Amino acid sequence: MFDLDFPKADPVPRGCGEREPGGVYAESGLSPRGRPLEEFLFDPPLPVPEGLDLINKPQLWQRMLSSGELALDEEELPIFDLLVWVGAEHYPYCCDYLEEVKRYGSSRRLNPNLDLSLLSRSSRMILAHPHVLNMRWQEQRPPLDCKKAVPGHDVSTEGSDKAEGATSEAEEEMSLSAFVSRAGDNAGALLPALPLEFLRTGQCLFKLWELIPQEAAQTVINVSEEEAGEHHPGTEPLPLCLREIGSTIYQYRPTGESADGLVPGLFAALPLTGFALIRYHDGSVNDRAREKILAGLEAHESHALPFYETDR
Amino acid sequence: MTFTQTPVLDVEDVDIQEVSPINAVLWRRLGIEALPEHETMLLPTERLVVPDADHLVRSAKRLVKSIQHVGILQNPSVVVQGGVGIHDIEATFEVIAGRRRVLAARLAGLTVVKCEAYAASTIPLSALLALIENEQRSAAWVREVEALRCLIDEGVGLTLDDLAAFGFDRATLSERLKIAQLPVPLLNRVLKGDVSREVARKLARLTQAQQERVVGLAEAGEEITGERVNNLLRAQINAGLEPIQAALAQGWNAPPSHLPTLSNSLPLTTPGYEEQAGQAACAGKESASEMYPSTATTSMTSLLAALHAFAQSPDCRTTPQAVRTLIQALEQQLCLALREARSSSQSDPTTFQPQS
Repeated sequence: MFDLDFPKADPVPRGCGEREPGGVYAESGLSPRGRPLEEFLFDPPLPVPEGLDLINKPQLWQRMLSSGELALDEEELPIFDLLVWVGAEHYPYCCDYLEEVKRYGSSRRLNPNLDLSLLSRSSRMILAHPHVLNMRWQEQRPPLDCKKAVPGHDVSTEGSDKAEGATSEAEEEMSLSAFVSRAGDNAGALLPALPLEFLRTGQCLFKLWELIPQEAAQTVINVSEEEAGEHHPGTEPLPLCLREIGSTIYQYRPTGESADGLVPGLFAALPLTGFALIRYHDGSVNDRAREKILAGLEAHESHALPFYETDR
Repeated sequence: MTFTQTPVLDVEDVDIQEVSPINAVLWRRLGIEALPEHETMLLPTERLVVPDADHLVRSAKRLVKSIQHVGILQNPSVVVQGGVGIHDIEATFEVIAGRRRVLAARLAGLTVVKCEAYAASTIPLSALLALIENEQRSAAWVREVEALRCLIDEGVGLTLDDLAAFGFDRATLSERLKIAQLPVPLLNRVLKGDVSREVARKLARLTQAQQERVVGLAEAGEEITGERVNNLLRAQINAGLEPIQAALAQGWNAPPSHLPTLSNSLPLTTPGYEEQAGQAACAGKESASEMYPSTATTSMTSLLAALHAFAQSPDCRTTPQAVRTLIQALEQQLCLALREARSSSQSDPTTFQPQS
């Protein structure tokens, strides 16, 4: 029917707990031939469209082209994406989820009443979280590191200096040269003519790590100036915080800046690699979901999403 | 003790007296000409008999908070038992509509409940009364919307939290509140019952501009159908998703040229590492030799092996918890770095970061 050797999410305990018997899960598994997670992230994140009622209601959404026509896959069938809300009750910080996905892949429980036959290998799992868009980014420091390397996101300390009213002409020049050197040759020709405020190209998804409060860490390690590594100039070395969620332990360096400006946003569009059907104690699986997945296999043929049955 | 007066909510009396065409047909089929005479009476709760109480008590508990705050807003219907008169001080009454309210009243500590007391009943009458009440309840959302709109118009500064304290469901209230804030021409249609609840919910999800558009259509005499509202909502959400959809259509996952790349000549295993790595957090399902080319060793792999060995050793158990956590975090971080190194030379557009 299909090769069972496809990328799968790791069945480890997660921030949202363990997978439940009878559950049907959409997966974005990890592969030795995969691409870094960062490539599938929205940076800057995007607002949740008005009117989209997504909280705890995973739903299918038909993909459209900007011309207004339906987007079609290789089998000339319409492409449906899966819109999923990642709740703060299990993942208080969006970073919790991203760090988990990086290590173990993504696994999201679906309502078996969804027409899973519409999903194919062209489908994406578009994820939203309640605390993603940073409405206060302009008054905060840019992140030390933007892993998408979006020009302007991690451009020197210009944002923080300006916020403190400390920007001198010399500092502006330094900031500018730092930016140009990071952004690469293409930007160099254009940017020197721009005022500094234009260097901040908007909010950065990777700022979210810095906005997690220190109190959210289970382990806090204070570091000296020498041990601190890169940190925001003119500020005290930031403590190294370790946060544990599910099977994931990750580090972050809180700046102490406010996370009050965080509002719901879309932050990723992960590729779907398949479905996991979790067995009930008697060894059976959710038949309704299975039937729909099988219908999808028939409809999408070589472009269909595979599935597997498992105990966890 | 008996008590007769006009019901607290006149509108309910009117509702019951006004027979809808559907109910009129039902009445005729049940052989009922009209509702029998009844009185509004204040009855002690111990004289009220609630059939099937054991099964209802759980759902009745949800009403307790509301009753404690505002009392019972709609009188239960009861029928006297044993063929005695309704004014007999020994009379007991069977609750035929409003069983949960009576149970909740008891749980809330009320000793008397205002009821609509019927002198006689038949099975069809009991069924009919329950049906009428259920019909009223199904339209209750409209009355809730109307009440919320009154609160808004009166400038009453109640928050959702305040209202939730009365026992209302927060999500339901939030939905009703959005409906109550619809432009007046649309709200009027809701209150008149011209718009179903489902359509009203979708209208409330439209942007203000889209709602005004619907108002324009309504004022032009066009029907506000569920399909029309659905299409508007879909178009609105599609507009919000356009940046994503456009990017996906253009093969958005192609690696940006400025993405930092990792060296793919990282080195790789240390002798004997395979066995250890089989148990390591990052090893997953494949062997270490598959994870990392076995052509060389590197400081990263050595460090990972050393960390893993230490984490398994008795010495580790005597270290402070913070150190053990740090070791675990480093192990996970190193695994990620090694995978990234390996993936930089092999990429598959459908999946991401290699696991093993």
